[in-house]
Amino acid sequence: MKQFPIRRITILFLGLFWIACIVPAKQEPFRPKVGEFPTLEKAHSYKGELTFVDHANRRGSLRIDGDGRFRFAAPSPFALLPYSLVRYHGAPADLRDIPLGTVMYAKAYLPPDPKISSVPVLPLDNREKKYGYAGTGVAPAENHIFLFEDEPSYCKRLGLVWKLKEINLKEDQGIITARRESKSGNGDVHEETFSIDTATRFWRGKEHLYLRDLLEEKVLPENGVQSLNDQSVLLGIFWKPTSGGVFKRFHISDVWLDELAMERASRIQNETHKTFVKSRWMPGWVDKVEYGKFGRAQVTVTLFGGMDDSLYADFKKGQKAMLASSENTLKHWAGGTAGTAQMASKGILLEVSKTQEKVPLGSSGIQLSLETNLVTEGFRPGKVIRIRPESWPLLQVPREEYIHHNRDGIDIRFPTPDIFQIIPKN
Amino acid sequence: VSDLISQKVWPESGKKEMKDQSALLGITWKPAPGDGLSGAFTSFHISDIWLDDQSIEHAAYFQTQKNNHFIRTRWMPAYVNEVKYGKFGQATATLTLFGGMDQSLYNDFKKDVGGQINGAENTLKHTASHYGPGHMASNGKIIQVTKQEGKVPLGSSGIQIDFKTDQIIEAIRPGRVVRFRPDSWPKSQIPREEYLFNNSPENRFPTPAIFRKN
Repeated sequence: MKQFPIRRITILFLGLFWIACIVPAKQEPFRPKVGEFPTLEKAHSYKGELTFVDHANRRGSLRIDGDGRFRFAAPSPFALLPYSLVRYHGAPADLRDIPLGTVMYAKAYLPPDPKISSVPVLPLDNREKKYGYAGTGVAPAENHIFLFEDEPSYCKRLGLVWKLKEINLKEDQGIITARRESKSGNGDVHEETFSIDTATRFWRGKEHLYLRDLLEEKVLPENGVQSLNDQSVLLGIFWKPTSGGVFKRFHISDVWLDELAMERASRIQNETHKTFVKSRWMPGWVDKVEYGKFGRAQVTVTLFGGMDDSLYADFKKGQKAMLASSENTLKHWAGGTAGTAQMASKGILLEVSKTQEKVPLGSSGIQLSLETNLVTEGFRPGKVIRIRPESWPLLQVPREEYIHHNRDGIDIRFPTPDIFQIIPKN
Repeated sequence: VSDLISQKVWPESGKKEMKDQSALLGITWKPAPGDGLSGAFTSFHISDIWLDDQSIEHAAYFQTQKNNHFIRTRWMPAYVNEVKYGKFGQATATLTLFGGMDQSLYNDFKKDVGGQINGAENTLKHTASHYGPGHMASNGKIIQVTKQEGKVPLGSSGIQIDFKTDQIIEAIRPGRVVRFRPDSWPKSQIPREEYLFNNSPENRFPTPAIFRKN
């Protein structure tokens, strides 16, 4: 009688189980839902070079580092989610703060509502599509970015640090070999070579130095190889053309040699962003609207997260505030000649509460209730608003940053080639 | 500002006489209080103050180094003054290099130095192939470098070079824009959006048709 092959089946089962354990599950494309902050785990991750920015519409293009040749990858359009977190130099930022060429890390999803996406909507499996020599992964459908970070911000979030191993200098340029690892010494170690040149900035305490300064101090040799003894630093990473047929060798734009230097860079960026948010108002979304009579309503909103605590501290119970409806691009509505304030609804902050539960990324965890006698169409659950506490200045924003009730049209905002004048033949 | 306050150079709040201190200013625009009609909108903002010559030199050094690297990898722009045709595709093109750049860049244009010339758009975009602009460019040698005497018009470097090549191409015509690389500059690849290759107006200036109909 033939025996049942129980041993073989057990081995096969264990083998399949082992394969299932070591092969990461393929991440399914994820579309965020209106009124819910998505989890970072469901995001598609990529990095690339910032090549174009349309800051007023909170969108841009990134040359994504796929599995092919980086130089053939055409810039891929992306949009920021209304609650996205942009981090530059370890502090909150707007797209306009980030120089073109900066290498950015993205966590992104499918467009929440493809009908109103401000960038082209791509097929769901587009991250698998091969784009010639550029390879795959260079134009994913997940082009709505949730978390967008430069190198020092990425390192600070994950507790990473760069250890400088060696420099090889020749005249006014060189190559640095460095490895990125956890500050705790655990986890993966990533080694990479970068170019540096005379425009690389070195930050030491309050000092701002160039390569020539370090050569004068004899910290670095004029020519040749020198060990850098695993010096801990944070790096700003850029892309520039490099010679020798090497296109994808990233470039060091900045080296922060100590914590004070990095802290100062973060502080400047944080102050820039605070002024920016105070002048453009705090973004958030509507959780609920309780309607009263004659246009009165109590609107409960959640403020978006990731900003400096001092901004949130300005929202106090009993204080006056202004609430304005906004697009998903965070553009205000404006009317007449008095700007965004003219279309905003005034009211009193009846309640300001901070959740005691775990706050999802994208949210501040702060909920406000504003009572107004002018509830407008923009205040609906899930819709994006901007809110200004009375203590913030009442400022005008420039023309490209608001939508005007009668001066805007789809053709004005997204012009066609018709704007190119046809020259009459004489 | 916090550093100057901690040094007691500036007060924490209130006014202080600045005694006509000489400085250079970086000016940006940020929203300013006002109703938008009374002129407060155009109250500009100081982004940077350079308090002495050394500090502005420091900033200028950084920007110069950036631009030097940029030009060396994207090549020196110029326009063609004259083309003297020889036989079998040979020609000598006389070019005027555009001005306003660091002298060290112009110093690299020397008589008898080899180089490459490439056709460019008025946007200064190269024509290129998959192997970069160097692949489409014409090789040759600088046979003469002349520096214009007298007042040089803004936009011009006042430097003319005569470049002899054995592969004269369509783009090298009087009045046309070219880019030039002396052999001492690196032969690097530039990113896809910075060169022309298999172009169509739709690719370069997309219409709203790129937004898929749902």
